[in-house]
Amino acid sequence: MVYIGPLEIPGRLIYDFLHIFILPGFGAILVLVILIIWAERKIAGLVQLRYGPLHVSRRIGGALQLIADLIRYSLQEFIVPENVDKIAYLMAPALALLFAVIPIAFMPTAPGIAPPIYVEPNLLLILAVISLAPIFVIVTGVASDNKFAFIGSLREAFLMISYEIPFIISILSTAFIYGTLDLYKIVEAQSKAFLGVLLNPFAALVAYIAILRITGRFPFEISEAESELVMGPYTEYSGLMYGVAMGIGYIKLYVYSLLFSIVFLGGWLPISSTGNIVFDYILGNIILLTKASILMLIAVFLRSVYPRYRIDQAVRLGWSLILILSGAAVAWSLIIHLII
Amino acid sequence: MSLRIVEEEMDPEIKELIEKGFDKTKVLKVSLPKPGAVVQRNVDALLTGFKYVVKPMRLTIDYPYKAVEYPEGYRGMFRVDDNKCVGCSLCDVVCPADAIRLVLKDKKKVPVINWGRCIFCYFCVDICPVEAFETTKYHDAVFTRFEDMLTTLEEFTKRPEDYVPMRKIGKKYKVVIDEYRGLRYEPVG
Repeated sequence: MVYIGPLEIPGRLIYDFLHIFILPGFGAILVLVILIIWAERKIAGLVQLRYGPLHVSRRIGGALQLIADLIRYSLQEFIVPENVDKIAYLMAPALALLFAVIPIAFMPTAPGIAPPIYVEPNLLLILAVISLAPIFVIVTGVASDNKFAFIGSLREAFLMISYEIPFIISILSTAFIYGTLDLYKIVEAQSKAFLGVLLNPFAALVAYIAILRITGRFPFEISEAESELVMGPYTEYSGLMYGVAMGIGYIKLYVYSLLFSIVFLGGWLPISSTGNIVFDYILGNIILLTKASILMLIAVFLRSVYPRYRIDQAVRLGWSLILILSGAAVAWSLIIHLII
Repeated sequence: MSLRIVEEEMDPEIKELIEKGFDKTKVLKVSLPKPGAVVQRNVDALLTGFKYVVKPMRLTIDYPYKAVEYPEGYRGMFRVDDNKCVGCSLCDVVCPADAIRLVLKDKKKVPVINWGRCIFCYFCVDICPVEAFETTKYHDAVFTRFEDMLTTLEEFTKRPEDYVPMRKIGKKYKVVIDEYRGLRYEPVG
């Protein structure tokens, strides 16, 4: 392993900056989220025999529509309703966003380079941090003083419990196969054997379905159900805060897709460390982001195919089939562990 | 899979049959999906969706870049010929949207229209005993102020092209719906 250690200044500092602000970090998030929301609307349009966004930048298929939307959101008046719990109302989406983004700092995204914050069992740490975000979604619903927001946050709470447990079980079950909880070593273990999807298909299936639920994609877009609850927990937000609230789901989808592609799809795998840090950094990140983008595209494609589950159906599915499948994933991992 | 039906809501005869031991699905005349059909249906739905992503088929007209040539008898905007008008005020009475208002001209009540209210039902055109309304196929109007939609008699006697702010639209086509390829644009004439 060719980790760039935390003491190797100045290369270390430059890499940390790039990691957080450019390639897997904020720059990539902004570009990819804008492209993914555009792709979601475009794919839904295609499947429904429409055009989707087109009029803004017609020559490239309306790809700049989301930038126009972003400008509109930021110029719109931001109204704080009278009866809301103001501190919680303003802080909760920001904190939800923060806890959705922090795990990127723990993720190794390129061969031979350690993440900015390197802790040995970083898979556990990422799972711990990322599962804090839903608490703030529930806080927004309670603080908003709005029945739709409250119902939405209750739904979020129900679904979170019933899908986050199978997700964590299935992700951790891979530890039996890889023999480690360090994401970098997980990728190395996959380079010696098969990809994680082939080693434990049950765990990958459960994790992907749970990701669809946790990030609020169809068919589990139940807490923000537009036709029932306006915008779910974010009903009372307007202007730029609405844009942020809408983006949280996509940013979460991005972070979870990165995690999924590291654990199950081998991260940067076709390439391994060559010793040239610049080359490794750029190519490793691009390969990882391509894998994550494909996962995100599949997730947004499902919007145009599936209707929305009723809350009781989704909770029943979570506590029966998905939980049983995650148990099967643990058993499968144990069998593979015994064979290897 | 199981059928969940509230016992009290069941027909007593059917209840009796089920108690005798007949098959529930046959008595109630319902068919349950076969095990494995769930997977098949999901795959079918995903493949159908994917087919349209790869091979787009659009049924939306590319307006305003391409416009449709409207058929004969299309109900567009219209004007009044105030010399033909006899001032019977039937158009005002029949208008369901209350879009027509009457103004006095030479001791004769002549209609003017509010385009913001007009629903283009053409009741006024049909009811007019002297056919004083002249119709056009023109429909692509864009008003930027509410006041512009209220016409004066001077305006309403002109053809709509001459006073209504126009929308810039593309070439006109005849649109044919193709079952397999979506819309097909055929040049007019």
